[in-house]
Amino acid sequence: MTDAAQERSIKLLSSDNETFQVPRNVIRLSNTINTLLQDLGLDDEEDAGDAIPVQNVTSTILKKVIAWCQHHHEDPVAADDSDSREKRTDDISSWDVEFLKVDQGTLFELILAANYLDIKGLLDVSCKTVANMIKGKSPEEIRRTFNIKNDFTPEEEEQIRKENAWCED
Amino acid sequence: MTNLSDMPDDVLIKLFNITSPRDVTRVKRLNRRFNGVVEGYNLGKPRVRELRIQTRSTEQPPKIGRIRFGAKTPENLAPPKKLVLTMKHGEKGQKIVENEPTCSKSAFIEENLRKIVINETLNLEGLTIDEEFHKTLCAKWNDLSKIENLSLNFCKIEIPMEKFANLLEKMRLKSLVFDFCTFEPSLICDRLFENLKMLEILKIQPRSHCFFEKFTDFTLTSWKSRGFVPKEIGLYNCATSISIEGIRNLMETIPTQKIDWDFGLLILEPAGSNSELLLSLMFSSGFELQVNDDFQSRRLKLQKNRDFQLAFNIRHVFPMPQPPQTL
Repeated sequence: MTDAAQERSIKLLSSDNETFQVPRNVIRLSNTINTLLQDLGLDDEEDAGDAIPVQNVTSTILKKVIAWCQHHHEDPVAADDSDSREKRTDDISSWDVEFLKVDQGTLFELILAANYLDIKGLLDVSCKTVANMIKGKSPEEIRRTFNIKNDFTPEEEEQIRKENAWCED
Repeated sequence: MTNLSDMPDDVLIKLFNITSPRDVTRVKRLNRRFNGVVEGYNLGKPRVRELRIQTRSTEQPPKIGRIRFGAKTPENLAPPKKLVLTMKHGEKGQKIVENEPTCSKSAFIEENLRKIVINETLNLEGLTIDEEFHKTLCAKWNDLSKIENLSLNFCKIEIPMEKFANLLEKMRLKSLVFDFCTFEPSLICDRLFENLKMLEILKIQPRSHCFFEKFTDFTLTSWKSRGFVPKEIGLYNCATSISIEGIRNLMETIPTQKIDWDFGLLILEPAGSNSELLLSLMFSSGFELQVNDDFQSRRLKLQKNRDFQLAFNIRHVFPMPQPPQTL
């Protein structure tokens, strides 16, 4: 990527047809967009061209996603943490904690957007937030928290409880 | 409103991968979909403190006791045999699974290994460690790197040394125990211990007399140079190429911890040779010396307070001016 390309801005189009101008080096955090731009050779073009449609992401959410990328685009690239490392969920930066103080609907919309746009850092931190909401809760409490419908019969649920009791002490 | 239930499987997989295993077991009880995702992708594997894989005869309940004389050896126990896997989680929590004798053993082990992470201890009893078992154990979804203790009882090790060494290196072994196992004597050699940097306990008791020719002072020297020496070494019913000199070198770095070493038979020490070395070792200050003879060897035991104990056997009667005595 040339310097000029770095300074370029890219146009994104939300599902509700709102256009967003995003600096190229901010949106590189999205693997999906980044790969798209590279594969289509759009990095070499002078003109910003047409807006890239981001399906399934509304303007409200896209705005937040861009804000997150804006804040994090200069973060050092995290080392590839493979599965072997112990996973922690208590290492969310205070900026992110504030950023993710949103209603559940928005939180899950953000997760879907981060997943679709393949923004690893945002997906990580939002999943950690959900993991922390699950932590230590009983199944009934988790169901209440996330409004989950139980389709087990009491016998089936008891069976699963029994099968897993050995690793719950 | 978008909710947890609206998340696609790949998001749920990512989420439950960072959720603690204990929380994931509760997630399974939420509803069919969550249970299906967790089960289907083996998420939230419980961390098993100890996994014991045993071969048992189906005909009679297992006898308590470690040595079975006579006909009832693992090799000629009348089939069918079944596998019993005991997974210990916490103080009380444990799960025991058995396979039908007709089922494939490796498929059964594989299926169960997929579901757990072994956190500390792996005990194998009455198994044949062959290529197939090696493959099962080394499968890519098995994380062996947290295993600190490996103990093999009544096992038959058939894989070559280099492969076995590589297997051990995948773990973080602090304790390695071979109890009444059958293997080629060349299995136990310096190469096997070369990359076991954390080893604190080593106990080897083969089923028949063995001479480990390639287990030499080299290993002792490397233990010395790594900064800490194993606190427990027990070589029973076997001989090595370790020398008295090597042991004396190792003793120079005796740490503050409790030491219990039994080096078995030192085969390279012929009568009369090294006598000065032996004498100086025996009369090192502060040691209490015990000498016992049996038909084949002379056993020397050095003790200092209660913190240090060293024993080894030499083949021939040591020419001492006086009969053995306790100093």
